[in-house]
Amino acid sequence: MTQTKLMRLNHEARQLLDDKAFLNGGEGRVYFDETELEQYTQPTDHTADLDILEDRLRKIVEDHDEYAGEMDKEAAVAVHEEIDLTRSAASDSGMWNDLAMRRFPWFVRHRWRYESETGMKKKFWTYGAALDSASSTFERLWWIAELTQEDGCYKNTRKVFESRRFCFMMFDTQIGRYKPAALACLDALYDDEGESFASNEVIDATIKRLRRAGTTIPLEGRTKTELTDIVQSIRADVESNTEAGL
Amino acid sequence: MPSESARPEDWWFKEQPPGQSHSPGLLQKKTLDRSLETFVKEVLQNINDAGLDNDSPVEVTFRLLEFDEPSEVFKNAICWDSLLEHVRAAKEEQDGPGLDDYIDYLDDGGTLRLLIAEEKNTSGIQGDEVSTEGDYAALVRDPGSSNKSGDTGGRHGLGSSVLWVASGLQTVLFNSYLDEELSGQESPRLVGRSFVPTHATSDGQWYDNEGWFGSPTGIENPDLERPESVWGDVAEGLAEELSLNRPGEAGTSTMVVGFRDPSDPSMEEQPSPAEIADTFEETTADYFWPAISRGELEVHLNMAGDVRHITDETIRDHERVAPFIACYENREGAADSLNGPGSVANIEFEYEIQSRKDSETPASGPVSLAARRAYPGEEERVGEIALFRGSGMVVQYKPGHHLGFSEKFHGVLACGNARPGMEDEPTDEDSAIDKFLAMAEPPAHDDWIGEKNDELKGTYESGCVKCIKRLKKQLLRKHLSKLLYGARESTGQSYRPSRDIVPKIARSNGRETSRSTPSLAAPFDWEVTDSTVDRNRWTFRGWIEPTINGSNRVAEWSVIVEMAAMFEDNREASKIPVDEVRIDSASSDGRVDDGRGVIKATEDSGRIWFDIRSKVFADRDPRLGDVGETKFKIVDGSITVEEVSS
Repeated sequence: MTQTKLMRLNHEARQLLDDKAFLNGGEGRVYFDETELEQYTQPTDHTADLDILEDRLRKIVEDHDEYAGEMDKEAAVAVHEEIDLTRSAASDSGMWNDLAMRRFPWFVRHRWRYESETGMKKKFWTYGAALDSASSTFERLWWIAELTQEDGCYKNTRKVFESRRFCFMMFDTQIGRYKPAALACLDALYDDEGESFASNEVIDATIKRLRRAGTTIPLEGRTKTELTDIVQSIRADVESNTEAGL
Repeated sequence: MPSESARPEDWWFKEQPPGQSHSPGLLQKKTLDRSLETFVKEVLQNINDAGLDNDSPVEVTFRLLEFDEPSEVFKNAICWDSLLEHVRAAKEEQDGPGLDDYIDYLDDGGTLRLLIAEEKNTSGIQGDEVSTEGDYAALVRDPGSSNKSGDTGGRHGLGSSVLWVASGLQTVLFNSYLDEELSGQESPRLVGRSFVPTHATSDGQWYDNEGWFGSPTGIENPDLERPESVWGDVAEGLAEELSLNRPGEAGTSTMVVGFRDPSDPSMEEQPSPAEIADTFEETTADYFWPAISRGELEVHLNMAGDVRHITDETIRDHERVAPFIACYENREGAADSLNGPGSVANIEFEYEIQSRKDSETPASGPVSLAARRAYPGEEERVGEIALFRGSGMVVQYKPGHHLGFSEKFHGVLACGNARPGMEDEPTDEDSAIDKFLAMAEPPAHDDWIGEKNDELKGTYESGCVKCIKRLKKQLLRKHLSKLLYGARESTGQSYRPSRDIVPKIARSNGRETSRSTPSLAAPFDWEVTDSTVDRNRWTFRGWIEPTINGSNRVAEWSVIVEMAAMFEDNREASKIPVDEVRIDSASSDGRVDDGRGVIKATEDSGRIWFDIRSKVFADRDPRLGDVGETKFKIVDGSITVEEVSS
């Protein structure tokens, strides 16, 4: 087991992503040269066994077709298991940007199809607090795993990655960072019996109304059980309204 | 002259023997970048090019409608069963994802999305059904070809094919009022096209890949032998049933049936309406700010209730482009080298092109290069230069560090008809440069390229390829260097950002306003004195008055107010429709317009008390999110003042 010091990229490194060839991996531009990254690199106090993580990511790449969202399930577990950080340490986007740009850019390109320059930059660089749509690849995976795993069990993590809509609606919002709320929404919107999520419309409406409820009743501070009760009531109301054509 | 229109009874595809050549559908499907950004760019550019020659802006409203199950009226009107019969047959013949996935998605109960692009102040789909010239031929009959002259953005005409690529059913409908009608034509004109692979229906009959939705009267016409446009009252009635009706003024409404993010043909991760609105808004602002900031284009969005406006009034609120607009707008009379943050410098330099081969045209003319020093807090697109010409669309943001510059600035290279200031008209030289660069744009209009451009080489004298390259490299580098370093460089003084930069003021919101727009006090004073939920509706009570001081007299004023439902993180969730506006002044008017409240004072009424109520909502349980924090806001207003002589 070899621990490697985790590095971070400072904010000026973002300009490196103007290199379209790197974004799409064309012209043999798989990695940046170390000399290009050097001036933007800073050490952190954290370590991880990145060799093992690399082995696991390479296996995931082998097992999944390009751009398959399905790979998020195993990749999130791998990233979270191999990079053991406190939440405070994990809130440094510079570290996650470094993993995407220096160490594992091939994974980013395998996971995400190059659709546009702006879109692909967001997969290498965290542009905002929205975990699903504005966070770089490894930050998104680590944090969603962190917010869904329970005592090292990743059953919930694998579930949430079955629905991109759920990830987007839940983890792009402030309330999604409150773990009991995220788990309550998962409980209420994932049907264990049918092993599937509610329809996208129900996911949308339920989470939006939970957020509306959050303007008048405090959600943070409530337990998962209390919140599950609320979300289930909202879902039932959404579905009865839908059936009634309201 | 068109014959009497009749409603279409089905989608018409030409029958063919099985052994005739099979076509995969729209060939252009694979030639353009398939992304929502490209879709927005191509569609907007084509619409902007179709603008009428007057002082009014081209207005575009993108409207996204969602249906869990389309209504029977819609299905009957669009001949749904007939369309699906052909599309289901065609999906068996298509390689790769596309029709197959979309039909599976619909069969699984997926939401049908219709995207409508409604244009105003454009020419409409002009032309007859037979000739090779005109909008009809380029957009409807032969999409992918072009009818445009050399200096419009969509010269290649490929833009229209993105409409079909963004349709899960590869089907598009048009409803158009023509600016100039030919003899026998009576607007509106309604027609639909579907381009799917050559296919065989369940009875074994093979059909061509081109589908028509139109008046069957054209089938008997020996010049057509296929359906033709539906006209007049018949078209108007049909458009209403299709939710494609439009104002009776020149312009076209285009419906993409089964709209989807074209980058996700397998329908795995389709964006939500809010995400679509984000992409449309950002792309519009990023690439069309030259046209929008000049008041030539307005874009409105209503994506399943997510309403946004990108206009001359709002474009400067987009932090990503505000510095470029400030740079472009303040370049007239600016210095020729940069000073501190927010300062603008401008230079015009001579650009040599080549004359056309078929007639002598200007072989050089000035282009304008301007730069604006960035504030420390400005991070978006710092160090980039926006390249554009008269079409009003940014062709490319060129990173300055590709030219060797690491300074913090925003630049614009305004060429051709974009060069003159607001009050000036383009010269012949400007027009020549515009046409030259237009021809250098590849189909996606995202660069100026001379190499491998046979059309450019065939049209202009030799040397034209080098002209393109020289502009983007040597000339840009040389003149940008003058702007950035100017006299300081020649005198040996160095620029010291740490000393010269002053902090950005918080209220400037990322853009420099002090040079051109003096800061103004809020034009209205107002207060909500009471807000309640009564009988499942919001009521806001309060007062409002204009705050004009000095010797001027208020002649009239108006405000538009909205109610917005809020999320827990203080972001707006959705608009709550206003249903009733009551005011206490007899000389003034309170009314509801499109879910907003409007208060209009016809004379100097002073303070007006209002009582504004929302529509009734179904339930009122805060725990279920039925009712929650709601914002009352003024979204627009105007005050007319009369000068009072002393």
